[in-house]
Amino acid sequence: MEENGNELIRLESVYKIFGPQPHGRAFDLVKAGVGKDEVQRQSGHVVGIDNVSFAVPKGEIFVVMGLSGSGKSTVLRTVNKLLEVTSGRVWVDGTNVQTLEGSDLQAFRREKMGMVFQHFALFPHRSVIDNVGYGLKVQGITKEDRDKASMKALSLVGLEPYSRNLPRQLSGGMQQRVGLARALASDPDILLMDEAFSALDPLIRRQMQDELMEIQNEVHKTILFITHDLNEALRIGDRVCIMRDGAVVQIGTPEEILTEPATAYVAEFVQDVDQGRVIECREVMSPPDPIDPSMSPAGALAHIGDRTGAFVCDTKGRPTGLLTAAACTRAADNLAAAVRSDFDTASPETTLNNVYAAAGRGLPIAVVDGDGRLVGNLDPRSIMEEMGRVEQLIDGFERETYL
Amino acid sequence: MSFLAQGAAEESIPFWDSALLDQWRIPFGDWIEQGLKWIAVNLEVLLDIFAWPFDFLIRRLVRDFLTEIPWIWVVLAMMLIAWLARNLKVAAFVAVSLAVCGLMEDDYWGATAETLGFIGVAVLLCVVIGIPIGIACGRVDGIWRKTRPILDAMQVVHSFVYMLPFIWFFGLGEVSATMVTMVYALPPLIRLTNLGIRQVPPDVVEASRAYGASESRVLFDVQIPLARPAIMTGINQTLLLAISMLGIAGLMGAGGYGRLLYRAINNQDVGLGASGGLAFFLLAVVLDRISQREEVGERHLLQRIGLAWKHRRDPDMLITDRDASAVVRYQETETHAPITAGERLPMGLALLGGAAAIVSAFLPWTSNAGKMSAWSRWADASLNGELEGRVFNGLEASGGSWFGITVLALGSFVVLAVAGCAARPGRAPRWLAPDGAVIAAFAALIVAASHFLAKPMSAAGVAAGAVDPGRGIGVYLAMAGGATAAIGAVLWIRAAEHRPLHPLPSGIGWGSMIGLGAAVLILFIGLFSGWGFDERQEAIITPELQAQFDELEQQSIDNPDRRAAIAADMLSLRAQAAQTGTLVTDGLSSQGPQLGLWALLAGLAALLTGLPAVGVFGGDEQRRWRWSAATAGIGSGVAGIALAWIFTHVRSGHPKYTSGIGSFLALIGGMLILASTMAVLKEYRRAKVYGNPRDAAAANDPGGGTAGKSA
Repeated sequence: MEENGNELIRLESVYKIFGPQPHGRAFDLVKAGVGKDEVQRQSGHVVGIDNVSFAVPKGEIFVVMGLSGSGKSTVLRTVNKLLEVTSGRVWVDGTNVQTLEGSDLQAFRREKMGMVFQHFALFPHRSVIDNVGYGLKVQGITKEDRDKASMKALSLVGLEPYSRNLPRQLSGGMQQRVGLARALASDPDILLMDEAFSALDPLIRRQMQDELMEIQNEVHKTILFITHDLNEALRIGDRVCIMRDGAVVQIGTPEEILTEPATAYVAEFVQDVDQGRVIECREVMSPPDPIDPSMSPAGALAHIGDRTGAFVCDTKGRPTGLLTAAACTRAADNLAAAVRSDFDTASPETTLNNVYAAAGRGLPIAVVDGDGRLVGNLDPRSIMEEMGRVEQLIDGFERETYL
Repeated sequence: MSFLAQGAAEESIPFWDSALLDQWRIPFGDWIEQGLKWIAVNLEVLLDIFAWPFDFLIRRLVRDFLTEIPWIWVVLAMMLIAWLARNLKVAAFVAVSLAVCGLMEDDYWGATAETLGFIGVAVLLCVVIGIPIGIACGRVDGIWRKTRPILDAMQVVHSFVYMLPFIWFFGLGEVSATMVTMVYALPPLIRLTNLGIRQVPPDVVEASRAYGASESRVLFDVQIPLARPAIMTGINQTLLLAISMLGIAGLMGAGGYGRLLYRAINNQDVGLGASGGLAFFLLAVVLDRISQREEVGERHLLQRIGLAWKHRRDPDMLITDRDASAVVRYQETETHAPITAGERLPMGLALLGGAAAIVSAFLPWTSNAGKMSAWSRWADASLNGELEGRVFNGLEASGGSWFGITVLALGSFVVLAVAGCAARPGRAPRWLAPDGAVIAAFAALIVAASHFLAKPMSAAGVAAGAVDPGRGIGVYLAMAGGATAAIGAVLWIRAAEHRPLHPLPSGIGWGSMIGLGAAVLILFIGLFSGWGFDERQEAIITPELQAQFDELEQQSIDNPDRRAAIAADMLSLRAQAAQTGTLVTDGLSSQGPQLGLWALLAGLAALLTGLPAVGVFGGDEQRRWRWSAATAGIGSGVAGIALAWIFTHVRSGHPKYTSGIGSFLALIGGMLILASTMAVLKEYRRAKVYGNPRDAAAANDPGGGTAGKSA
């Protein structure tokens, strides 16, 4: 974890044990490294979180991912003290949240964060606009100002025409948009999203993920996102934290999780993921190393080496043509005639699944930056190579698991 | 071991003998008695403080206020409460039921007001105590764990057990009766409030907390509003249990129906028991209806007033509040069929007939004396010559009496049905429709005709000094108006654009057929049952009877042991004797107006019109609807005859000349005919025409509006 000056949320060795005497024997057992099931058997207490530490910098979408019972929702609830921790500290914007009490805690929750729930948790007896304005109402803001802010938040999620409806009159996806608008209305720094999209249909879920990212581009919140769906985590997370039995297993960017799973547990998760959707071109591409068409064919062949081909660039470094090794061999001496211009381009952030079609032609793909300059040469064979490597890695873990 | 040895030494009873148990005693009862005595002596002040709110509410609110003010205010107040809490329909039901309770017999109104007040006080105190306790139980597990066994005990232990200490401390009377009632009625309210609070989805409560709400806000913003249905059910339950405790409260000295019923049991007074029971039942239904929670989506008056107040500065919100829903937008594209050209003329005819019926009530119906009321007052001195030459309209007691009033009401309904349907086709109340008009018009015609056809004062009456009532123009106009309205309504229903909501069941409606048959049977029995009971004559004690009395008296002196049995014999003998002077006129008798005959003939007509209505002549739905409406109209007419007769006696009757069971049977028969047609009638509504299909399809897709979110 990088030490960062602008981090907004920070958990320091947080433990949470459920039961009548959380500080007693159960805590000692957990500290001594006894597993969750064994602690429950010996002491009757349930381990919620076991020594969790992480930090979330401002503006990041940090996803905590795990199966049910992994403690992910518990982690979220320590951040606004809906749950009290057994040990450890939770810092939010320089405040030790867990020491807050009563009206200080209420004021802190009001100002710092909005929360979105798995089953929406809308107030069924209030209209959409009153739901959205609830946080503001609690802050004591007048009805007019409240409605103005609520309409703005509703416009972000595209639900202005439904402001006077009751929540039950809306579909699931629309209800969760209301939930999102409610969290955005008081313009907090932090959004806590507890399995926000898990109750939605797969298609709506995807749509909502896109929408969340779109909104995030506008509002730049710090988002702590809880999910049990790895695809969702990899899709929207800037960084992903994988939890198991209350403990952190791995924290990293989606690519790191996918290409370098830390344990067999992570690998098992990852094996069902389509790597092509996560791995980006820049991780697989080779350096651009452009070619000059005025070379001799033999020189050109030597320059291309074992690559499929190389690109020809103009003076600004923009690719203008492609010279393949095969064309060099066929060309007698006029290399300029062998340069073809029907090559494909991609950006470094393009995920591999978007270049499969282009790669299928067997020609190198030009990876260009925003200005159109060549930054890399993506060989179709290297795509297959990377996919194979990840697959083998996961297979290795799998053997480890089963043997 | 010493006690065994002792016992053996004294009487040598083996320890398995039950007699041994008599030698030993655990003085539990003594302990309690000593404790209660101590409390009664030393904590009198505390008991007084405890009893104060009960005493205050019952004395000030019930004794000094509720039973003292005029009855009309109480009925109006209850009606208003029903309207505010529910709707106008319930309010009307409440008003009628309370009026019937009060009309039942002498001092029934006092008992009704007292019962109302007693239950009101008990429920009020239950709510004040129960809801806070329930909320505390719902929020704090510890309190619930401690409270639950107490509630169990309150519900399991019979009220006779805890009745005694209350009587000991607070004496017999309303105060201790209220307390005992509360012990019984409180637990469900606490339980349901607790349940309601606990059933609020935890994530909604969490959401409220997560947005920084204080605990009191969580309670009042989320928990109580969401627990409201459960709490309302709890109040309803408490109310019903309080009503069911009235009998025991009467035993403990509370007034009201409880005491009436208690008296009825003691005196073996069947009549008092029946009327008291009916009033009891009506009051229970009234209170239950008021306190029932509204149906989902219904908005009662109180909510509407609250909403109007909330949006007093931005009334435009009131319009968008509900109509923004996509569902509602979809519905707006469909409208009810407008009035067609073919309907206009019949509607005009019906309107004319209805108006004529209304006017007829204000015209002379009889002269010299009332036709119907004469039957109930013929021996009154006031009638003898005094009324001669005077003319009475349909509304006066001596004129049409309740026949005129019934015709007026039915005529008004016809007018209302035509006007309502013309003004807002399909959106007026359900019965302001052609079938409603048919029913009212037929009933008006039958009621007017029965007044016309009824046998006037008997020769005996005339001989006794009564005069021939004659017939006024009002009766003729009422019949003409009823007939015109009936013709108009029938033509209207033939042309009306009404369709069933669901297809009518194919085949013959045997249930309805049996209902009609039973109705005719009841009317037939009613024909031979008494329509009038005249008890004005002195009981005639014949010499034989007198001899029997004397013999029984002698027996009771001879055998003092059998005195009770002999007294009962004498009582029944006396009842027999009392009946000798009673003149019972049945529905056919020439000593009466022979209304039973006309009711039966109408019932037979209903049986005939009922044949096509139940589908004997084929399943054509529109035809079944039309004949059902006609049958229902005849049934209403029969009920109208009975009702008018009964109320004529209620309004102008001599207290010893009452309407009889025969008229009540006719009322039941008429209602049964009406009920048999409901299966068909209730399906019919104004037909709908739908807006252009493209609009409907667009409005049908609520997700479509969300696409332009970035706008």
